[in-house]
Amino acid sequence: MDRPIKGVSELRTYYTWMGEDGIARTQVKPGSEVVLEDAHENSKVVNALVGPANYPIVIDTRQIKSITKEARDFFSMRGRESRVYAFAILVDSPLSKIIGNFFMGLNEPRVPVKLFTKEEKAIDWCKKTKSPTLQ
Amino acid sequence: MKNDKRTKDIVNTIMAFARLDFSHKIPIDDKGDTLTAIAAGVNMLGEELRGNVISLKEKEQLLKELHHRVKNNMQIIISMLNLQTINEDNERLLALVRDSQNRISAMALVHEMLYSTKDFVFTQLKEYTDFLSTSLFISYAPPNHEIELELNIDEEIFFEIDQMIPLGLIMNEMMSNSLKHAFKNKNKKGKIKIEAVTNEEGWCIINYSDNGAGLKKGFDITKTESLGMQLIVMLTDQMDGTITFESKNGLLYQLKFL
Repeated sequence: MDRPIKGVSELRTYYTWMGEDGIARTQVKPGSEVVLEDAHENSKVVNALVGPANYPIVIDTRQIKSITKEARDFFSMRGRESRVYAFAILVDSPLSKIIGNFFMGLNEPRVPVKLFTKEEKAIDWCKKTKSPTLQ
Repeated sequence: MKNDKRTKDIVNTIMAFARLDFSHKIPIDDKGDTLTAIAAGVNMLGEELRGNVISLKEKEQLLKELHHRVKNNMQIIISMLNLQTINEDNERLLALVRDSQNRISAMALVHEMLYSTKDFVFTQLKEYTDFLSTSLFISYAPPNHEIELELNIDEEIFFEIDQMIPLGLIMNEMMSNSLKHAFKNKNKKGKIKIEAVTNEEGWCIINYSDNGAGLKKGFDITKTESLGMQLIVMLTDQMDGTITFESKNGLLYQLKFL
């Protein structure tokens, strides 16, 4: 996933930015072990992105090492407000596939989630997935 | 780390989970291969299971506490009724209060037995009847009585609270009636017999009998003013069961329900 030169927030385990297409992006740093604090921090940044009122997000987890249950639960968005209405999760390594599938299967996010191995397909899906407020 | 060692770590951790020990965690290395992925999956599974087991234990604790409190509150009601009648000498009123206390006590016994069980769901009929009869004999049987109690209750009969409460109240009424009214003839040895079985169709059949005075001639269950009898009929109806009476050499009830 190519990061733009400007407008990228660098967090402990993530890079996060808003794409010109109105789709948010967040990329997990190589070897990151994501904990609840990282999830909080990332969510705060994602919700503060300048762009449309609501947007989908592409999450590149291809180089993730681990994510705690508390962080997974937080990302499931149950019981909290967010401007994000869909998750496209990029996976390719066995580790990221397991984590992605686990998140989808067991943490049951409140918004539509899909796993992708190709970034273009993830972006296409995001474009087709409408915001609940626009439906 | 060699693959053998990594596989052993994974297996050991899964075995620990099977023992509900979720303190194990497999180290996630930087290889990023299939074994690393499986290890991460097992770790996440452990975290999820741990959460579920804890919430299940919390619910069990809550249920136990709930039964305990209900039973304690019922005991408080019984004690308050005692205090209320402490200076009362109207025998009829005292008898009515005692009947009410025993009815509350029959219900409290279900809760008391439930919080001592493993699953807080099922009450064993045999044990319940044993405790109930002991309590009713203390309350109603005359001093130096010669009333024999015979219990033939299948040990495999268990009920959930929805059935055990009305059934307990029915048995409370049957036994109280016998102890209060059936054995006025002092020349005859009294006997109460309770049998309970379940048949092949799953019906529970309870035969309750005493060798006492039996029902008065012309007794009509639909016209009786006895609250005890009315309760027996109403509660049987509540359990979708049937009850038959026979007054011959004492009194025999047969209660059937699914």
